[in-house]
Amino acid sequence: MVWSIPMVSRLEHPTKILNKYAGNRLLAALPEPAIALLEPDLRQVTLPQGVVCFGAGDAIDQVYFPRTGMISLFVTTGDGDMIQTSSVGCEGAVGVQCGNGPCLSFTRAIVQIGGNFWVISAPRFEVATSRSAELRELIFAYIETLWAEAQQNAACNAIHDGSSRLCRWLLQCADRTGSDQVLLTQEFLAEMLGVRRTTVTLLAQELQKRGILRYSRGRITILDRAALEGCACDCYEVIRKLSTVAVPQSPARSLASFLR
Amino acid sequence: MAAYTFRLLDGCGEVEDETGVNFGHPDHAIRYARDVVHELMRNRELETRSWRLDVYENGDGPICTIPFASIDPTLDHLIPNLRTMVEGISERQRLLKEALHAADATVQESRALVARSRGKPYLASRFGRSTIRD
Repeated sequence: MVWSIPMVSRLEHPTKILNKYAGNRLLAALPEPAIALLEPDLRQVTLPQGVVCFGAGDAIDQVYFPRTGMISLFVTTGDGDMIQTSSVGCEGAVGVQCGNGPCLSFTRAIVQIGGNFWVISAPRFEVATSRSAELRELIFAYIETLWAEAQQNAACNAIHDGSSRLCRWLLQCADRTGSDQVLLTQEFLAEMLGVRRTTVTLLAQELQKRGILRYSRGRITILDRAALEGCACDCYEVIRKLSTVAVPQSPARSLASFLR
Repeated sequence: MAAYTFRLLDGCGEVEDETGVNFGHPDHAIRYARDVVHELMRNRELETRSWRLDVYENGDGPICTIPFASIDPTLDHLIPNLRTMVEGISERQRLLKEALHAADATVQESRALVARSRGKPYLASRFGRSTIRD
């Protein structure tokens, strides 16, 4: 199958196109020739909370670049429990591994916070990737940072308490959606943390009692960000720095510099 | 099916899960509450050792109280007498914290009452609760 890919020379206003994708840092970091390859097939969609992008074991059929929403990746256990292993917001993308060819998803990807997303079909993305070295480099670097984040999450789940993990998730959600209001139900937060709903309720109430956040009907408002950062585990800072090194011009080198 | 709610006492006031969970038997609610306690204290056992979780059935008095120290796995290596002693100390620690917290609230309230009587600005609420109690 051959896909029609527009040549870069046909691009009339590259600057305008780059600004158009500013909502997603991964797309915004792409050089003009690479974005020109993706541009004809990228479409904007609005997805509500709870939409399953793809299940574990499913073929990845689309790549999602969040603008205002957030997608969480869950590992499902045999008895149906789900634990969140990673989340992706405006700093990244979900399903980029299909740029190297058709592949199955190991995790279940669910829209955790509804919003606006750039979407491209997997075959189109693969073709664009095969034609752009910059795109391949960026995907490789981004997967590397996702892998690092997953390992950090594994360590965090093992050694940190529920309260500091809750604070970290709330800060990450706020960062990735660009808002201090996080639209998450307690049931969803409980799934994210792998604990019971009552545990999340009591932890959130503790934070509310201290004036750090306000919780009301699925809407969490961060009132004192500095205090929340103080309560979060140090994994927050590590992952925040990781997400900032995922999108520079020479990503692999940047991750190496981060580790130094 | 009965609705069970849960109240956490940490020495600095109370927080409550008012939504609750429905169970067919109190034993299931108590088992659930023990799991919640384990989740709340995991990886911070020392910090939460003095806390307590109460279980309420249909809004009536507590059917069960679970002091965190009583199911703290990091105390399992202690001989029974020593463990009982630690549990007792943890309970007294929470009561002391509650007394200090109540004293602090009274001081804040007294200051606010004096300021209000003099027509001066005063701290009306703290963390969403009125400083001057009804």
